[in-house]
Amino acid sequence: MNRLECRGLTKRFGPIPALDGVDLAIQPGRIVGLLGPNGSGKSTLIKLVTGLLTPTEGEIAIDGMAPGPATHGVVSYLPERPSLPQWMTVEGLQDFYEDFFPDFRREVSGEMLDRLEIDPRRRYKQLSKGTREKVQLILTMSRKAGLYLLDEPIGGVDPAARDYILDTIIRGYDPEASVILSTHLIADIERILDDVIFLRQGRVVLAGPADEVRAQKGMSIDGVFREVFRC
Amino acid sequence: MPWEFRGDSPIYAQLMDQLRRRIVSGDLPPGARLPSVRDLAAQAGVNPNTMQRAMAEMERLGLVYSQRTAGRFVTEDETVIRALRRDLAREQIDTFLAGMAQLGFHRGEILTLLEEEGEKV
Amino acid sequence: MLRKLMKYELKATGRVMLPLYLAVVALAAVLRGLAVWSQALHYDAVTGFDPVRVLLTLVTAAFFLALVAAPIAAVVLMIIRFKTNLLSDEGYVMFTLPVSSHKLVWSKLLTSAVWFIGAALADCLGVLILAAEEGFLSGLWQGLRDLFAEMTAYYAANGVLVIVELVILVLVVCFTTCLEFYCPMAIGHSFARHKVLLSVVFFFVIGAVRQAAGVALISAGVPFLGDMEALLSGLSPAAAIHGGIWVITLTTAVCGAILYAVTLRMLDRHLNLE
Repeated sequence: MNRLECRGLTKRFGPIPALDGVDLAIQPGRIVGLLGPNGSGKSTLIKLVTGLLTPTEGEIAIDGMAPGPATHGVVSYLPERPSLPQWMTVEGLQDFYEDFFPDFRREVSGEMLDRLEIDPRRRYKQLSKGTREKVQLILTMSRKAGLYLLDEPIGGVDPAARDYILDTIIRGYDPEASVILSTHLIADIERILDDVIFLRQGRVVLAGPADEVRAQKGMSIDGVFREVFRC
Repeated sequence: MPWEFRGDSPIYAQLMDQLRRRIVSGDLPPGARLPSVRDLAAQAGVNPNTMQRAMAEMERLGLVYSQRTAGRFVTEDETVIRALRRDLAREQIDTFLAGMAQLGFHRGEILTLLEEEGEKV
Repeated sequence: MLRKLMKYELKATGRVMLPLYLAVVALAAVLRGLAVWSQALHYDAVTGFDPVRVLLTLVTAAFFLALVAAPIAAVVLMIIRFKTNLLSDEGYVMFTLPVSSHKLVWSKLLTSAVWFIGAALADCLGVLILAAEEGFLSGLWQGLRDLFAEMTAYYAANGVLVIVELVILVLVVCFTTCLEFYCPMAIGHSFARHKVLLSVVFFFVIGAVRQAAGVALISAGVPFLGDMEALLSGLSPAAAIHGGIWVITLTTAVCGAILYAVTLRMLDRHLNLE
């Protein structure tokens, strides 16, 4: 069964469609890049899948279920900006995830925090923006979810942290789970992608296995992206 | 040896190419146990499915073999490695010759140059 | 899950509220101690400037400040928690927990009610500590018992039942008060811009609608005023007390239920986090 399926998915804010008739099917075990310039509908699509937004038209099915509390147990979501409760300590946040997500693996999160030398007793509020992003990514990836939705996971971090994040995604690879990550920084991540989906103005303009796209066009995904979205 | 990738060809093919070089150069000696696909993928910074695909191709070509529980190993078959060594050398020479042809060198010139330069090695 | 949500909600808010309660009680105790002490010194509080007088004034001011601050903080915190935890960045996390939005809202309602009632109790305790003379407590207890006895005797109203009804009323009023803020905030934040401004606007709009509805209801009732009088005069005093409490409780609850339904609808269908 597909981990995620979207049919005719449309979201309008006012008269302008942010997403326009998107059809998608994502199988288990795939790492999928959701690629497009800012404002192309990447975040909107992800928010629709999380249920934070309600579609204007169309359907979404995660393991066959419409977005809601039940799918939140399957989906591990990293929002585009740090959004964990500010007053808690990192340790407290681990408790929080453990309390609400039965699939949270505390020891995995502990190891990752150790490796990045983040003191679990610090308050989230006192951490730098980059560290906050890392903490949230660690908590997101420490769940054993069926579908990971990572919205711009490498947006604001330095190259070392970016490598660590990609490494985390690769090492955390689970053939049962799918990963969707949105970004406009394609050169940095294209090597870890199975499939690519190009979004432009809310429509899918190109989709397929990354290596096939490379072979077909004789250039990198980044090159294809630059061609498709040439200004 | 760091992993390097170009954008214009499939990554699994580039992975195979680099793994073959490692075998020929002795970086991965005959009979050496390979890290798990996941670890190799993480080292190279590539998708585990892509690494898996490269490994499957390598296995099909007889360059590596897997034992059900122990993992994956570089072939110990000398003839296979010798053949691989020649293949890579031939590829290298093809590239070289193509480059020289582009520069307008003829066969005779190339051979003379090679002999001259070869003495320095 | 509601219990877990409440646990974190109480932790987040208790960091502010508990010290405030403690301040009310502690300041009352200190003030009481100071008063007793200055009396023992045969101290004349009216004349002259001296440290004891200054101290007494300061502690008195601090006590009344804490007394006022406790309930105000409970209300302000109720508003802030709803905004920061659900309608700002933290909403990304809260609304993607495997929890229904009903539970998210109820955890906030229940926690706020706890702190409202807590503030009232802390203030009562503070005043009690300050004002209680010897025998005051037993006097108060006796007074309450007399009141109950009289209610039962004269009006044949069940005192315990009235207390239960009053507790329910207090809870309903607490919840509805929260929802009077939650609802306009949920509506205001569904817009892309001017979220806070629109929240304030909708707060007043909802207030106006409520008033208009109230006026409409009363004026609709005017023609039946005669019947009502007849009905009321036929009631026993006990029935009038119970009936009165229930009428207020129910009208408040209906208001609350409408606000709740609108709030939930906005959160479920029109959430628009930045």
